Amino acid sequence: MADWRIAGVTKAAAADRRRDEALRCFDELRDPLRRYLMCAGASPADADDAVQETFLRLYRHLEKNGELSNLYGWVFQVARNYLRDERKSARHQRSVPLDEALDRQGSLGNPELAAMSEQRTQRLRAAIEKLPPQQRECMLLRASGLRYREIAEILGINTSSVGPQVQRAVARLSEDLL
Amino acid sequence: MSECARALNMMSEFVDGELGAEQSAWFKEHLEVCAECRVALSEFTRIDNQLTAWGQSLGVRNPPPAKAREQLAARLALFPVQPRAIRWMPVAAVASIAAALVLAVIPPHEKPVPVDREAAAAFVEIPYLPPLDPRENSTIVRMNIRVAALIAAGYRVAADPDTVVPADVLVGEDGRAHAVRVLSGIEWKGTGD
Repeated sequence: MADWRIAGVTKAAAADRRRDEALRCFDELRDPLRRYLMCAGASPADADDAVQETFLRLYRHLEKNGELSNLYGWVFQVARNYLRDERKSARHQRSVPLDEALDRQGSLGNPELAAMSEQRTQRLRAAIEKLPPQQRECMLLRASGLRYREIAEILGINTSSVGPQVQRAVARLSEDLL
Repeated sequence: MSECARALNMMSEFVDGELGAEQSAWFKEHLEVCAECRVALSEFTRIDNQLTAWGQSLGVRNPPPAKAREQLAARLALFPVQPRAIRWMPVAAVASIAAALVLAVIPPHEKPVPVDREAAAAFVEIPYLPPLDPRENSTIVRMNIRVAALIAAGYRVAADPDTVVPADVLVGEDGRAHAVRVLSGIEWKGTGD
């Protein structure tokens, strides 16, 4: 095909397809992505901003015919980077410290149960923070509700390699959460 | 790899129910005879449950905004349809398009109406031609067209037939023009009423 040909006619139809694809991915990944971001310390509002921005970037990525062989990996990486950049930004004023976010969550419902739940959650969160980066990612992604097979895909490792990572992480968490 | 090491590596897939039948049977048989692995599985499950319960409770207590999907769809709709690139076509191809449009030769002294992007209309298919396949590659060629040629092609244009207007022509893989977008403020009524 001559190099002057471009995908043209069809630009409007192609844009529609990209929008549909971005929305389909949003439907599929929105909930685990929000949970992942909140587990990583984002406030709900920041998590929602990050989710929106991630799927807008996905659309732009598709528009450039970008490589997308690992959708899960791409989406979580972009959301993670967005959150990191937002935290670095001096303009960012809405970030809620994890403890404050947990306090807010704990204040709902039965106060005693909430306090116990909050204590457990804080211990778990603190224990996860101490893990090496890949094990920490494994645990946060698991908390987001993903299957271990999907976690392996996101981390770009074999499913069989997730087992040892998880085992080591669980062993460390067990020591800290006894 | 020892049997216990193998069993430990299988635990993540076991709790997700993703072990094959043969592996699952082996894993269960191993647990029956290995107290250490039973304890390890129990601990694995305990931490795993704690992790998933944590994420779930965060999700339940902080539900997503009700209109998040609609908001995203609206923002996506605001993205303009970006032409990837407009490249010049070989002279022969341009000539074939000109023929398809029944273009009269435009003398060099005839200045076209200036391009007015704000007044640019959408592409309108040329009547009586089969529509382009959605997967078909196409090319956009910018050229000056005499209004008379547009009228001859079946368009309804309320302008002096001798006027020359700038336009984008959409060319299909067959080398024929399939649609035109006029880039000036002339009264362009497309092909319908």
